[in-house]
Amino acid sequence: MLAQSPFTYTPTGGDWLRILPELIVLAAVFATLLADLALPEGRKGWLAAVGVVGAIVSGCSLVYVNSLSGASAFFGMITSDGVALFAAGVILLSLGLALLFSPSYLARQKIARVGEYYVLLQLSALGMMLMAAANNLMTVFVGLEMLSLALYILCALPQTRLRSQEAGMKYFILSSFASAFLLYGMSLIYGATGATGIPDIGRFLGAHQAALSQGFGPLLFVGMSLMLVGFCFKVSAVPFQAWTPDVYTGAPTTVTAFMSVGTKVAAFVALARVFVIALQTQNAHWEPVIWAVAVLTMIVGNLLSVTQRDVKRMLAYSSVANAGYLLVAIATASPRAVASLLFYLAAYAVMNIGAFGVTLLVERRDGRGTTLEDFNGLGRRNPALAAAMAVFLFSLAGVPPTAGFLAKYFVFYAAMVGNQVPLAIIGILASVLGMFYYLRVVWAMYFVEPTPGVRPVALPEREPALAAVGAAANGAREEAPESPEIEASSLAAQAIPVESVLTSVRIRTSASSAAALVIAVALTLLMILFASPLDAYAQAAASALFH
Amino acid sequence: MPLSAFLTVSGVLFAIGALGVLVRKNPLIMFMSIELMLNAVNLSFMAFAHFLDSAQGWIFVFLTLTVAAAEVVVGLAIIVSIFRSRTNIDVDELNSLKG
Amino acid sequence: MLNLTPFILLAPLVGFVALGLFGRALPRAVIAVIGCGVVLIGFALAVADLISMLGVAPAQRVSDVTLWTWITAGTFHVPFGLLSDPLSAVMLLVVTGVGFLIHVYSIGYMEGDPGFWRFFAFLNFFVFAMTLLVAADNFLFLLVGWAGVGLASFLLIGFWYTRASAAAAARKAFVVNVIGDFGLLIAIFLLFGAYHGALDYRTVLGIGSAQAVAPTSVAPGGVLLAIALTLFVAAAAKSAQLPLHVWLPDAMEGPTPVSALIHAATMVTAGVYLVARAHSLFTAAPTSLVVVAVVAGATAFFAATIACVQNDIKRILAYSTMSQLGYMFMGEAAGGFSSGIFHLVTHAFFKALLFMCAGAVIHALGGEQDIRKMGGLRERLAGTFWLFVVSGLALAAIFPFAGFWSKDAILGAILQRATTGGAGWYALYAVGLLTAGLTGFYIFRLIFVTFFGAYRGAPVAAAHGGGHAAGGRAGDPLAGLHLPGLALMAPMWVLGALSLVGGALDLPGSQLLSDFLAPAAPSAIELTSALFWVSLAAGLICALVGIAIAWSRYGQGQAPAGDEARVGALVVFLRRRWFVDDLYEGAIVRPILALSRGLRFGVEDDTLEAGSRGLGDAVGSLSAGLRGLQTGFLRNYTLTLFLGAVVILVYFIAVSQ
Repeated sequence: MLAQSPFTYTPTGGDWLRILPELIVLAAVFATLLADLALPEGRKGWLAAVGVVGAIVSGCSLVYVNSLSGASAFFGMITSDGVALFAAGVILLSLGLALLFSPSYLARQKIARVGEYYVLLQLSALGMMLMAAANNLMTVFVGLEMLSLALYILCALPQTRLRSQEAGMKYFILSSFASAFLLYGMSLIYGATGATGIPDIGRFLGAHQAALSQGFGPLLFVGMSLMLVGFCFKVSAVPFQAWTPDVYTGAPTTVTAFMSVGTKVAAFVALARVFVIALQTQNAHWEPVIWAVAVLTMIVGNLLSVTQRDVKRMLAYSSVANAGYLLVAIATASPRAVASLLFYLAAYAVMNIGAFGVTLLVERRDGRGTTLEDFNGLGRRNPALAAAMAVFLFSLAGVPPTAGFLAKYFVFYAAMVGNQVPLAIIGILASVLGMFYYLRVVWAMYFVEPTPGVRPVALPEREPALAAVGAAANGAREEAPESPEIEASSLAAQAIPVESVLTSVRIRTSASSAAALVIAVALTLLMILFASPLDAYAQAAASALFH
Repeated sequence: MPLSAFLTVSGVLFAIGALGVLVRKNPLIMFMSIELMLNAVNLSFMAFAHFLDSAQGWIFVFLTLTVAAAEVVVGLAIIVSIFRSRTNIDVDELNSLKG
Repeated sequence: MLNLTPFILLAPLVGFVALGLFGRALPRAVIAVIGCGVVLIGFALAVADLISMLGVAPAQRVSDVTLWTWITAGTFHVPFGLLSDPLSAVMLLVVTGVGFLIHVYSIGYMEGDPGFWRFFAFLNFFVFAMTLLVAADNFLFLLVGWAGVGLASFLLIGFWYTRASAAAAARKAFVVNVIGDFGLLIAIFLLFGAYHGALDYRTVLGIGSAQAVAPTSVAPGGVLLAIALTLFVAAAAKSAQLPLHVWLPDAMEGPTPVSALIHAATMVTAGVYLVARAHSLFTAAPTSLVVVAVVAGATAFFAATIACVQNDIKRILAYSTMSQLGYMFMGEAAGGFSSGIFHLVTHAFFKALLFMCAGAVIHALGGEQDIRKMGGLRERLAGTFWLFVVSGLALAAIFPFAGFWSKDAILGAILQRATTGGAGWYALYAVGLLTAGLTGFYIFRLIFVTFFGAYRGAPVAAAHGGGHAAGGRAGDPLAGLHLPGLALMAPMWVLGALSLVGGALDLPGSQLLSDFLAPAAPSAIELTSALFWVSLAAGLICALVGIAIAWSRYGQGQAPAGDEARVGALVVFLRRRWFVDDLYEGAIVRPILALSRGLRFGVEDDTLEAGSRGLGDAVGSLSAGLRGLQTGFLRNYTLTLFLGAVVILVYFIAVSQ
C-alpha cells in the first residue's frame, strides 16, 4: 500500500459507470430539489413521483452495471460486485415503496417542508447504497454517516410533535456515540494492519498471522471489539437495541418503514464484508461473540415483542428479533450463509415495509392510534387492507409458503450445514415465540369487533354495548363451561351496532399507497416463484466475495 | 515520542469523552463529549499514519472532520428545535417513548 | 396412469378464493353450491384417479408429477410435486368424500349463522390444505399442508370468536399445533443432513423408486431414531396423543361440522397418515415404534376412561376420538400400517356420523350439550337415534359393523407382533382389549342416557326459523324440538350405510384394502390366520361386556349423576382427567411463573394477574420484565451501550492473552 501514492490517481470512465446507480439517485435528488421550487404548495406529492422514477431508473441501471466486467472502482474504495448490486436493488425497492406511501401520509400528518423530506429520504438511500458498496473502511464510514445524518433529520421532521423530536434526539446522540466506537475500532484495525481497504486487511491478516501474536495483536482485538459494538448498534442487536423501539415509534411511520429495512441492509452487508471477509482469519475470535449476541437478540427481541400492545412498537421490536436471525447468518460465515443473509434482507424488505405501510394507513392524524385496539375488526372495516396485513404478518411469522418462511428457511438451513446447529434450533424456537405476537394482530383484525369511535389510546375504555357483550361472554363462560353454541352465534349477530362504528373510523387508501401495498403483497406471496434465480444470484455473489 | 504515547493520550481522551456522555444531562455537553471522542480517534489515526508512513490515516481524518462538522449542524438543529418547543433540554425529562 | 391430483388440489382452492373474495355479497344458496360443489368435484377427480390406478399393475401404481422446481442450489433441490399412490388415493377419497358429506351437513347446521360465507370459505381452505398434506411428494410441502390445516383448525375452532371459551380453545389448539410443526421442522432438518438436502419421498422413503435406499445405510441409528421421534412428536400433536392431547377436548368449542370434519375424520388422522407414509423410517429405528406403542396404548386407555365420566356429548366423542387414534397408532406400532389406515377410514365414517348425530341432537334441543339434561329422545328423533346406534355399534366394534373389522385387524396385528415381540406386546394387546370394553361402555352410556328414559331438560324454546318444528301436545317440554332437515339427514344416512358395510373394504379372505395399500403401507397379519379369529372373538366379547354393563347401569335412561357417587374417588380422578391438566399447571406453568416473577423489575400489576393463566402468559410476564429495562431515558441507553462495549472489550482482551 505504501508504494502507491493515492494522490496521483485519476478516475477513469469505468469508475463512474460502476457507480451509475448511485449517480442516478443523486440526479434524482437534484431533480427533486428543482421540482420542489417549481411545484405549488398543494401538489408537492408529485415530488414522490420524481423519486420513484429515479429509483426505477437506478434499479434498471443495476442490470447494466451487473454486465460490466470487474467490480472495483475508485482505487478500490467502492465495489460494484454482486453483493453490492443485490443490496442496492433491495434498498431501491424499499425506497420506491416508502416513497409511494409518503404523499398521502405526509398530507394526513400535516408534516411541513415536504421537499426536504423527499430529498433527505433519497439521500439516506444513497448513503445506504454507498455503505453496501463500500470496499474500504473509509467508504463504510462515509456511507454510514450519510445515511445516519439524513435519518436524524427525518426522524425529527414533524416539528410540532414532541415524540418525533425526542426520537430524533435519542437517535442522534446514541448513534453518534456508537459511531465514535466504530471509528475508533477502524482506527485500531488500521494501526494493526496498515490498511483500510477491506481486501487489503484480509490479505495482511492472512499473511502475517505470526506477527499478530507479537505487537499488533491487542490493537487488532480491541479494534475488532469496538467495531463490533458499532455495527451491533447499527443493526440493533441486543444489548445495543435500546434506541430502536423509541426511535421507530417516534419517527414518522414512512421513515420508520424505510429505515428499518434500509439501515439493516447497508449495515449487515458492511458487517459481512468487514467481519466475514476482512477478518475471516480471526473468525475463531469473533464468532463466539456474534454467536452470543445473535442468541440474545433472537430471544430478547422476541420476548420484548410479546407484550407490546402498540403494533408500530411491536414491529420495532420485531426488527430487533429479525436482526438476530440475520446475525445467525453472520455467525455461520459461509458463502451459503451470506447468500441466505441477502435473501433474508430482500424478503424482510417487502414484508416489513408492507406491514409498516398498513400500520401507517391505520394511524390517526396525531401520529397515534396504532395499538391493537385500533386494528380490531379491520377485517370488516377494510377487508383488503386487513388481508394485506395478514399476508405480511404471516410472512414475518415465517408461515409457509410466504417470502418470510423461505428466508428463515435459507438462513437456518445455512446454519445447519455450517455447523451452527444449536444456533439454528434456538432460532427456530425463538421464531415460534414470534408467531404469537404477529398472529395476535391477525386475531385482532378478524376476530375482535371494531372498537367504536376515536378515543385516547391510553384509556382502554369500552363502549357500553361492547362492555355488555364482554360481560355476557364472560358470564356465559363462568356459569356453564359448555355453553350452547347457537346462542352465542345469535349473540354475535345482534350485539354491536356495526354500521355506526364503521363510519367513524373509515380508512382511506390513496392510489399510490394501494399500489405500494399491491406490490409488497405480490412480492411477499410470489417470492416462492422466483426464489430460485434470486437465491442463485445471491449465492454467486457471495461466493465471489470469498475469493 | 513512541507510538504508545500517542495511543495512550488518544485512549484517555476517548475515555474522558465517553464518560462525559454517560454522566452529563445536557445534550449539548453530551454532544461535545462525542466530538471529543471523535478527536481522540483522529489523534490515533494521525499517529498511525505517521508511524506507518501511510497516507490513508490522513485521509480518514479529513473525512472524520467533515462528518463531525455535518453532525454539529444536524445535532444543533435538533436540540434547538426541542428547546423551542419545551424551553428545557434536560435529557432526563424526555421519556415519552419507553417500554 | 392418470394423475389428477393437481386439479383435486385446485378445486377447493378456487372455492376458498371465490368465497373469500365475494362470499359476503353472494346469496346463501350460491355459497352452499360453490362450497359443496368444489369438494364434490375434488371427490369425483379422486374417484377417477382411483379407477385409473386400479387399471395398472400394483407395482406401477405410483405417479409423481412435478409442477415446478422452486429451489435448486447444489445438492439442495426441492421440487413442488404431487404424488398419487395407493396411500394418498385412499386419503384423498376420505378427505374429499367425507368432506363433501360434512359440507352438505353444514348447509343445514349453519343456516341462519351470520358467518355462513366465512364458514364455507374456511372449510374449503381446510380441504385444500388437507389435500396438499396428503398429496405432497416431499416433506417440505407436507409441512406447508401441515401448517395449513393447523391454521384452518385454529380459524374454525375460534369461529364463534365472541365466546371467550372459543377464543381460548383456538389459542390452545394453536400452541400445541405449533409444537407439532416445530417437531416436523426439526425432523426435516435432520433429514436434510442425512440425505444431503433431498426431501422428496422418492429419495427419502423410496416411493416410486426402483432401487430404494435403506435408511440404515444412509444415517447412523441415533439419527434415524431422532428423525422418527421428531416425526412422531409432530404426529402426536396433530393427532392428540399424550401428552399433547390437551387441545382436542377444548376444540369442541367449534361448530359441530368442524368437529366432525377436522377433529374426527380428517385432520387429526394426519399423524396416522404421516407414520404410515414414513413407515420405512420408523421400521429402520425399531425403538421408535416401541415409543409409539407405549404412547398410543396409554392414550387409548386414558382417553377411554375419561370418556366414561364426561357429560358433554361432544367431549365424550372427543375423548373417544383420541382413544381411537391411539388404536390406529397401536396398529402401526405393531407393524400393521395398513390396519391403521383401514381403521382411519372406517373411523372417518362412523365418527363423523357420531358427531353429526350429536350435532342433530344439539340442534334439536336448541344448543343443549349436557347429556344429563337429555333423555327420552328415542321416539322424537327416531332417525337420529337409529343412526346413532349404527355408528355406536361400529365404534364399539360389534359384528358386522365397519369398526369391527378394522379394530380387530389392529388387535390381530398386535397379537401377531406379540408372538415374536414378547411380554410387552401382550400387555399392549391387553390394553387394547380393555379399551375395547371401555369403548362399548362409554358409547352406549351416551346412547342410553340421551335417548332412553324420560326427558330431563328444560322445555325447548320454539324453533326460530319455523317450518320444521315438531307439533306436539301443550305442556310437552319437547314441543319446540327442531327436527333435523334433509340437508342434515341425507349425509347422515350415507355415512350410516358406510358405517354398516365399510368393513367390506378389507374382509378376511378378500383383503381388498390391505392388498391395495401393500406397496405403500405394509400389513402385519394374514387376515385368515387362526390367530386373527381368536383375536376377533376376544375383541367382540370385551365390547359386548362393556355394552352390557352400560345397559345394566343406564338401560332405563337414568341420569348419570346418582350412581357415580358410589365410586366417588375414581370418578373424581377421571373427571379431573387424571390430573394431567393440573400436572401441567403445577409442574410447568407455576415454576415458570415463579421464575419470571423473580426476574421481574417493577412491572404493572395487571401482568401479575394475567400471568396466572398459562405458559403464554408466563412468557408475557418475562417480556414485561425485560420491558422494564426499556426506560425511555437516554442516559440509561448510553449506559447499556457502554456496558455492552465493555463486556465485549473485556472478552476480546481475555482471548488475546
